[in-house]
Amino acid sequence: DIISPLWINPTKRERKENYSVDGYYKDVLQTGRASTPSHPRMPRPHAFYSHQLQPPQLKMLYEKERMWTAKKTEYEPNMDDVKATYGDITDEEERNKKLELLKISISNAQPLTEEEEKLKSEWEKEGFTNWTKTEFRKFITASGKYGRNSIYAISTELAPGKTVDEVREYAKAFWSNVERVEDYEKHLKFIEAEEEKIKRVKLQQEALRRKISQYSNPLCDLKLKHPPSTNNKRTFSEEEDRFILLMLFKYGLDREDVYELTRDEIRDCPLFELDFYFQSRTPVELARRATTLLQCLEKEFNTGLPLDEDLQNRLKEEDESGKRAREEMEKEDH
Amino acid sequence: TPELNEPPVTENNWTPNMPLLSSDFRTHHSVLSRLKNPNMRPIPYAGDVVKLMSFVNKFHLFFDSELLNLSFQDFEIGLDLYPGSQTGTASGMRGTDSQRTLFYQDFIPVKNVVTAQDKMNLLFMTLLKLTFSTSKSTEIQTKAQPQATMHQLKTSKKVFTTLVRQLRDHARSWGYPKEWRNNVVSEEELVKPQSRLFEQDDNGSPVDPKNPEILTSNIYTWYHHEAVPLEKDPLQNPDLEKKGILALEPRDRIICLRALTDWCGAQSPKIRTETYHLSHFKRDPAFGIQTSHAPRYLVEGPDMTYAQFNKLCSVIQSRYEIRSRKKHVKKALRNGRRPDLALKLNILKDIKGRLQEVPKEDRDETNISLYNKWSKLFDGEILDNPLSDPYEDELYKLRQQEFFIGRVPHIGDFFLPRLQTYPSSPLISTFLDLRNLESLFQDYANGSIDAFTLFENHGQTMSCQFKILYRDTPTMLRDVAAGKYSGNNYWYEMCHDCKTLEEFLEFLDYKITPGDPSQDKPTGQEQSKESQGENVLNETPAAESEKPKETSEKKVRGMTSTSTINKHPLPKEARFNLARKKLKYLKDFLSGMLPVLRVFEQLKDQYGFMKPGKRLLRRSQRRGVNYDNGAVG
Repeated sequence: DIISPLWINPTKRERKENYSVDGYYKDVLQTGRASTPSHPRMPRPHAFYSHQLQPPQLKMLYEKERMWTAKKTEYEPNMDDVKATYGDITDEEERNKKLELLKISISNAQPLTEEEEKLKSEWEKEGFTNWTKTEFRKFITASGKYGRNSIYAISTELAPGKTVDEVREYAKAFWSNVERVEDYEKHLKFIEAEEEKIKRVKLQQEALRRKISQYSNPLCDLKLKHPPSTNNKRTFSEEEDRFILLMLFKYGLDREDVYELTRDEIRDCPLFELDFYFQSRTPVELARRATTLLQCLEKEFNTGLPLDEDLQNRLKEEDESGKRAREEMEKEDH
Repeated sequence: TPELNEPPVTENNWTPNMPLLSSDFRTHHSVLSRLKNPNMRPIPYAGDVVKLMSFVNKFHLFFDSELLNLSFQDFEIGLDLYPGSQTGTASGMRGTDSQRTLFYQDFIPVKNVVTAQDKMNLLFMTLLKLTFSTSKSTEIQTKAQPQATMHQLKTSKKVFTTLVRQLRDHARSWGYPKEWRNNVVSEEELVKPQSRLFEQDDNGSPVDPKNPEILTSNIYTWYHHEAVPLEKDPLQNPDLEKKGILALEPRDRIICLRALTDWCGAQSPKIRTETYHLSHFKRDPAFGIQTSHAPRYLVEGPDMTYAQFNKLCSVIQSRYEIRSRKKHVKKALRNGRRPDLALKLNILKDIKGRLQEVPKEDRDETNISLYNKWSKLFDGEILDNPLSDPYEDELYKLRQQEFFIGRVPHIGDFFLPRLQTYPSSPLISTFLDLRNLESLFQDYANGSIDAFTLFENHGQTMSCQFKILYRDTPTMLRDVAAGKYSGNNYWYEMCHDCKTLEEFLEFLDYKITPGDPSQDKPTGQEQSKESQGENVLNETPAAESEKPKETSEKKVRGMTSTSTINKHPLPKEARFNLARKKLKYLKDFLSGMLPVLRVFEQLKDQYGFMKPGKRLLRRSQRRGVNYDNGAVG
């Protein structure tokens, strides 16, 4: 055999590399000649992320600077640049117009004035350029998970990158300038929905506390005013339901492992020693039942928790200020 | 004027079963000390054994027939468990004559001990196989078959290896039993409140002044239930793969089997399908879904059950009569358009005629003897009645307490664990409707069924030995409501064979007879002392061991008899009247059971593990004659 059976073909790329003479000499000789002739390119627009909350005026400066750079390099704009600057435009005429506009703005470009240079460096300090997109995404998720004001909790999710103070500073800026952030409606909706969940759990927890405090022996006497729907097949006994509620109260709804603990309690409890149905319920099934029961409990206390005037006034105010902010935004756009 | 509306039949609870509610005992304190007698022994593992037997019983389709005749004693012998200790298993039996501690192998043939051990291992293996079976068959009921047989256990060498390894892989995530948890680190108290703060203090000013609420002011970490470290974990015992359940310490064996039923119930696709089937019927019992229930005649007593039946009969009767008087019905009957109704009305006429023949005081009894005619009338009106078989309808199976034999106010529940509730064959099973049960009791009492009849009729498929267990349910409920039950024992053995059962019946007599007026004063004193003692008992279980000694000493001194039986009747107060009545029902039931249990004991003594075959049967029949002559002569 000429080729040893132990021979394993190297990967194709590797082999090419080995015999690439050009590549070898390129490194060794360092001819200094660029492989492609340089021709002027349209400078890219400066990266500008809305979540970094930099002053919007800074964008104008960047644009001005960009046009100047293009002029310096004697660049002739084309359709691609129109696309990069103004986005996709379907109307041909419109597109041509924009191209003209671009040409004009390049030919008219001037370097930044001294004052503008100063402003630029000032404004650049203002934003949160050290907040990456990933960090921002984490911030939004955590704000939902813990509630927007829970800065300590949010900071734990951004732990190595940002300190508590950094997060607090950013959060303050974020909430006072939400409207400047791209897609802010989407983010707000998400956070509010998540916060609603936390509030709901808190409400349920409180309802549970109040309900149980009504009875001296809740295991025997607790009775739901709005029991679970009779349309569904009842499989848990009322006593089992009461036990689930008692365990939820004992460990608290905010514990992640509350249903594992409930399962263990059911197995430990001599009352259910011979109750195979209850004992064979998995934490997931217990959680499902608990959700149903808590909803019934909520119904009972939702009516008992009226919005007092103070709260109502505040809600009205909020609604109005929100509306105003939106109107202003719209005006600015036009 | 005749009534126009038919009386409703569905609103009442006519079921052959009755719910067992925790609220029955809600104001009761147990009078445990009143039950003291020499045969009464604390037996903390009883609940676990009863649970296992109940599991095998309910899901008998998956267990080999060798496991369907398990007795309570088979668990004790097979797992090396001894009654008498408050906390776990005693270190042996005290000999009757000497102070020497005896073990099962000291007074039971080794062969029988090994048989019991094999059965325990077969049970272990069956539960493991059930848990890890991957079958997703939906037609479980028709295709079900035993998961493991004795033959497999005895012939293959490494039966446990893969199963035990699978168990080790999963069990920790399925939740360990409380005895195998690392209870040192987290006390009950530590589980409850937030134990470790993540941060030192709460938050400062809100970042969004419009929504100033701080929803998460802190993040907490909690203690979790943790399994014991691997080096102390019984499941990691390397011998478990070779020796099966016997590799563990006796106490751990029963814990392991109990945990396995929990895991099996939650994980086994077969058991889960079956549980789903049993919990999702189109209709619910008339009393709704209750945690557990038991046959009506055991809860309310036979008298009430018969009375309830008679009441139902009169309701049904008036329903038919009112209906037959209605115009359109009359017309339909005349034209022969309702043959079914005409037939039923004839039956009703027949029943009424029969009742007229007998004197008034015998009417109820006669009515019951006409059960078969009545049941034809019930057709289409009501699904079951107080006298129908409480074990027949699968609707009741899942939450049925098959071993329950009586609930007594101020005292608690009594259990008689014996298997074969559902695959019942005639003659051997006592899981019947009230009427058939009573006639079965008679057959046994007058000797028309004896050990040989049982031997012929597969009597050995039924548990031969028995125990009567008492559960101090009032105390248990109290502790559960207070959340303090770990480590307490609620189970007691009251008797373990026919001889001690007779003693127990005699003992029940003392409790049933109302207090003698002449003994009024001393009883009163005793009672107040005792109720004090009971309070102590309820508060500190530690004092319990001292208390009985004290009373028994007093008893020996105070009474002429050497018996240590607490002969005091229940307190004379009116609130104990119901208890006396219920004890009477319990006594009546057990008196009926006694001949049955005795014959089964004889069956075990005389035939042992002999398998009845055709040849053997003929020969033993001849031998039986000799035996009979000998016994008579």
